[in-house]
Amino acid sequence: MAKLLRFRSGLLVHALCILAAKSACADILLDKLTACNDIERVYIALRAQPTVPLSDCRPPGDGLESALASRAGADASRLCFLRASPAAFLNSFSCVRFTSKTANGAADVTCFRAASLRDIQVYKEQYAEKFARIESQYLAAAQKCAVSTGDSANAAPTLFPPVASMLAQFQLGFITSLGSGRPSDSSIFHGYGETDPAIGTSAPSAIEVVYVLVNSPIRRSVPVDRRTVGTWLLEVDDTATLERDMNQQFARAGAPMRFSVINYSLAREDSHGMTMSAKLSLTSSLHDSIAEELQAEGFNQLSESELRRQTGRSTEELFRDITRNVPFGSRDQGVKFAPGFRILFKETGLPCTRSGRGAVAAYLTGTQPVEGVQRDFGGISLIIARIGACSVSSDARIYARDLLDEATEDIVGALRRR
Amino acid sequence: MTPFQQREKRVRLSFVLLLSWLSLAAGPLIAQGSNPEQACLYSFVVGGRALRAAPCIDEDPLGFAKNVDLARVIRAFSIRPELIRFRGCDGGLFSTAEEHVSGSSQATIRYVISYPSDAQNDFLAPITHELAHVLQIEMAGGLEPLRDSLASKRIELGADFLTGIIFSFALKEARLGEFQHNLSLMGLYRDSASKAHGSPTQRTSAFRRGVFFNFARVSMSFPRASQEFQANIYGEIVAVP
Repeated sequence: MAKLLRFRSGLLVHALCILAAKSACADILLDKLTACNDIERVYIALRAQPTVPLSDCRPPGDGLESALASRAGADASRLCFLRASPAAFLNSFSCVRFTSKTANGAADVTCFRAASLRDIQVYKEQYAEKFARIESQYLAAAQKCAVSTGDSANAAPTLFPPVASMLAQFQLGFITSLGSGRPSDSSIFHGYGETDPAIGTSAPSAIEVVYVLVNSPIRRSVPVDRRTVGTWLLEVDDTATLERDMNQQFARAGAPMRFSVINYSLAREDSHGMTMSAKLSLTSSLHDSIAEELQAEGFNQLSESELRRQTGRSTEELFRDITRNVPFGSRDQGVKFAPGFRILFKETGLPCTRSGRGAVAAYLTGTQPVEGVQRDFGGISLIIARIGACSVSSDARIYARDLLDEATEDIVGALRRR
Repeated sequence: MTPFQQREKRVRLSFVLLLSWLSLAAGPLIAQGSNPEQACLYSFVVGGRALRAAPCIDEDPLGFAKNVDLARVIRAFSIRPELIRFRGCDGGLFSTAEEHVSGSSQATIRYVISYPSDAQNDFLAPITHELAHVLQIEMAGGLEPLRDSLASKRIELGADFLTGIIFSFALKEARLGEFQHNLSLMGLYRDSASKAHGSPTQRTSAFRRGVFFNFARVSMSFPRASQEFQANIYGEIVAVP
């Protein structure tokens, strides 16, 4: 009899879940994308006020908040833990915004709270029998919000918000486009991620995340320098906006260092059957070519012993540490560092390097082609760092930019010869 | 992951490098310097509807053979309409199977697309997906060659991709939200390799890659679009777990 009662009460709970068109089952709460009025309020507020005044910020609390603050790196000084929730549907969440504007004009708010990894696993295991229908009702209701474009869908892992990626890795999520047009420049993401175990045993096993993004150029067609070199497709990205943000932060912090960065993405349509090692060998030869140009320019590649003397690490250890610095949520997302990287220095030959007052460093690395994507040949990054007196020298700034231009010419020349 | 997202990821990685380099290297330097019941080419359900074991009736109770939207899809895929036979099954699944028909001169192959006879307004996406399978079978020269050459998940996500192109190309008045839900719900987070359709996330990605695909780049050719998917887009989708 008791068993029968428990069974009936289980059925009742499940029926209530479905009737409420949200799941309180397994604590995967599908109710954020349907809070239409609250979403609209946040959307309007972000558009009206892309940054948040310091008076709205509070110090980070314990646990996840302090972990986030310590992992934010260069963004830490801009990170603002909001004193008040942006809208009622986020009342039990920690919410984070930025105090200064991003160069691309986007504005966002990331909110998170503790969740359970076990609940996520149950959701996935019982998806077909139990949760597919609830999810369907959730997305159908979400697309009826007046502020939505009518497009709600399962979210790809790459849509997991960058701030949340510092704490957790995407497990499941949903997204609604906001505003108008297709694709639109605004969206709301609701999802769950597995927490980085390195945060510590006191941290929850998972987090629930809500992320509202407005005015994002990511969803528009961003102009990219695309070049066709014979059968090669070369995308050159000078990362100007990111670079400017980064250098402004170094300037504010009084750090005697400035960067210029360029990224190259390589693709070739007629690469059927080419192995990963053949592709990597090509990237490596392009690295060689750029390194040779830099050496001709007076740069010296650090020997293993010199690297250890200056950094306390071998090349391999340095590479491992760098890989470890990739945010937890961005690991295993298809793009991996290519093996081998180089650091070269120029400590003489420029006015700003006189008497050891400054130096220019070149950091050459790359990303591997994505496995199973025939046309992809990966990427190459060249970072020029101006250090000490060279960080404030306008001649050195122009010199760094010239080095990047020369590298581009070098890559184009090398591809043309292939 | 779209090519743009990949590029963004690469840019982000370069900044991770930059920051790491700053903390690790720069400090010291500054100091110094065919069974239709098996899977969907095989079968599936929309919306997590419970299945009842019931035999198929050899009729087309919902009249899909005369449906205007489906006729448009068949035409867009350049499939000969006479090769398609629709069949309703009580409580059944959407599926595609080959049917060998003995004619007076030679044996011909037709494609039987089965559907749940209680399908309501949610049939267009899954039937388009099944018709995409017909295109894949024709391209491969038969169901067995298709299965031999591509794993289940590749075939299924490839059909979702083609369905996305059809959505943009031939079914402009269909609603994106409803259309993709009816597809994505058929995914599973835990799939067996032999019947894998991909997770709901991957199915949505494949469909949306089709919706936003530059069809003109492959001269509006579905076979070429399918080849492009298998050569590049599939790898980009599954690169992200």
